[in-house]
Amino acid sequence: MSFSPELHHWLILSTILFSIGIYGVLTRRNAVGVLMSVELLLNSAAMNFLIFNHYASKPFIDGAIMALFIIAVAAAEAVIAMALFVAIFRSRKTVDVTQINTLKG
Amino acid sequence: MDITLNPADLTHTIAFYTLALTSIVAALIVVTAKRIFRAAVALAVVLICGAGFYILLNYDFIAGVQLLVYVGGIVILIVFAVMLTSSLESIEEPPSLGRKALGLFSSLAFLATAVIAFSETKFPLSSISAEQPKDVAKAVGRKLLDYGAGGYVLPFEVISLLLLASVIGAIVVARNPKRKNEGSAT
Amino acid sequence: MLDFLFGQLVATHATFDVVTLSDRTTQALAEDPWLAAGYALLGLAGVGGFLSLLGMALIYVERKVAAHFQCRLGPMRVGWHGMLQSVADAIKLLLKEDIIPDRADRVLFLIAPVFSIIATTLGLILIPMSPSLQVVDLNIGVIFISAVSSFGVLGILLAGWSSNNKWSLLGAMRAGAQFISYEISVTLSLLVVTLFAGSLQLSEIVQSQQDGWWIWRGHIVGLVAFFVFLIASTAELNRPPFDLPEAESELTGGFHTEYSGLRFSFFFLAEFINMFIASALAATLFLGGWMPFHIGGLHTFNGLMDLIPPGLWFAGKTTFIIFLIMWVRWTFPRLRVDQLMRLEWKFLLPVGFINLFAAATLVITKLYFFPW
Repeated sequence: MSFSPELHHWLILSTILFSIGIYGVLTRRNAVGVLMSVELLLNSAAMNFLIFNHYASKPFIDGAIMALFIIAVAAAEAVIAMALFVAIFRSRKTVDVTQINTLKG
Repeated sequence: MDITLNPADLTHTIAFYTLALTSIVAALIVVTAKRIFRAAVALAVVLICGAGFYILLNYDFIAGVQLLVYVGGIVILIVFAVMLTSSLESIEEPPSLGRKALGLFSSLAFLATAVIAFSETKFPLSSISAEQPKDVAKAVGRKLLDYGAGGYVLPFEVISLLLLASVIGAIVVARNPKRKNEGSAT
Repeated sequence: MLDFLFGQLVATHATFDVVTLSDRTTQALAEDPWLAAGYALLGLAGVGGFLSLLGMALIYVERKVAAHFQCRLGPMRVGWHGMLQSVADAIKLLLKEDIIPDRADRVLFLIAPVFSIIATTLGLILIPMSPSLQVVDLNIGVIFISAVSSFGVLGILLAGWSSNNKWSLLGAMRAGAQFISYEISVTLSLLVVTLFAGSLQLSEIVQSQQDGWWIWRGHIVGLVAFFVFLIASTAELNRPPFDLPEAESELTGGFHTEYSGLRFSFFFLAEFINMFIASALAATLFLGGWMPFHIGGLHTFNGLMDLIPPGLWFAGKTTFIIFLIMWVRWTFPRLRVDQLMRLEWKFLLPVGFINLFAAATLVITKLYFFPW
């Protein structure tokens, strides 16, 4: 076993980041906090694409392009989410996801 | 156990572990901080560390885009969302115990499953002689505009449509219905 | 030693060898780790010293320029023509009491200025000042510079939020909105030069201008991109006439209202160094950076121009643009928020897009070369 980072080191790292993100999505009360946790998830997914691109298909660049797409989708998602939060805050005066339950019968 | 003393390898290894530790600690702050703004700053740290990882993997262009879009765009947007929806004194209540247990269980379950899965799998590693494209930016650019087999021109156009749609959607959702008649751009 | 400062004094065509400090360090790392450590230390000390000296010099110049525009003399007391005024000011700032508001968010309040100054330093190390005076030369240089400049605005947002003061918060939000908007125009005009030069690496962009600078080799397109860059980066720097985030008549001091002493000086320094970075970037991309004034084909003339060392060319061009930015400050009144947004979204942005399109057409048709 060597200390210098290999494929499995990288994979464990991105998995840890992903599972921290899962914890955040499930436990955060503030909607903005949930959005941040989702960004953590997306970031570690993009990282996985790059890791596999680097270790499993070095001469090609497709993983990097996937990472670019993930970044672009994350940007679109953040824009929409921010607009929603502002709209919700305007009508409900809170962005606590446990309080926003109008759709509950 | 072999610890290579090649200085370039050594710096690479040290950089990897430092960045890994920083990003994991910062990620924990993101999901647990009671003050939401601190979580946003920690998120910025995680994303900057992410760019560092991409540089370690030799994808410098993606690292640049990550800094430009994530740190320069998304984090600032999130900071704006925080500024518009909470105040400095607002402190988030900790989640209820049941929710905490559920979150811990699912994240640990995922961690365990994933680690077991990829320790059982034999990944088809590329041969040691394989070379990465020298100029990642150039390679990515060519691939994105390539309309032959394996090209990405269609997804590229779809992404641009998605971004346009989200910009228009955001404006429609966020505009104040009471101030419809004012035509100001702010 | 002279060689290290100015590069090759007399260079024949296309033989500027770019050797950055990080190149030297990597090279030395393989042979002699101590030499590499020495280079690294030299780089750190050099960047730190350059940062503070340049900051003080720029503050002095700003005060002098401002004074002469208003038919005053400006600082005259400390040293010859007030040359040491900035040193005196720096000592005063360092000795001041460091105040942290009682109900501020302490952690963020302390981090914010550090964020700002780190962003500035990261931008500074990429600037090619002469063929051998550049700390690192990334091959994504242009993208990296515009990325790290956004860290600075994160520092401003942090400062405004953590001060727990409504003026600070308003100033910070204005800064953020202004930055995000004008960043688009800056990036669009950077892309124009990137298209012309076919590279994101700053040293290569400089090398690509050895037959003429992009500002006129790109015909009208280069000129338009230059002016869009200048306007948008003045706005990004929060300098007048776009200084809404710290408009003292409305917001007392904007985001740094609550800061004092050393922490305030960090913001102040970062602001002035950012002005230098923007000017140096404009000089590098549009005016050829350290590349002497060349006209493609006229070898005798070019040889004559090469007699002036590249470092001096860089310094001259950058000083000119810094003067231009200071000149604008004393010429135009401050904009209102809605005027600011209208200028970006309804004028600069469409112009930038059309310009980028025209640039792409020029590059495809290869019309941007001089006919001779």
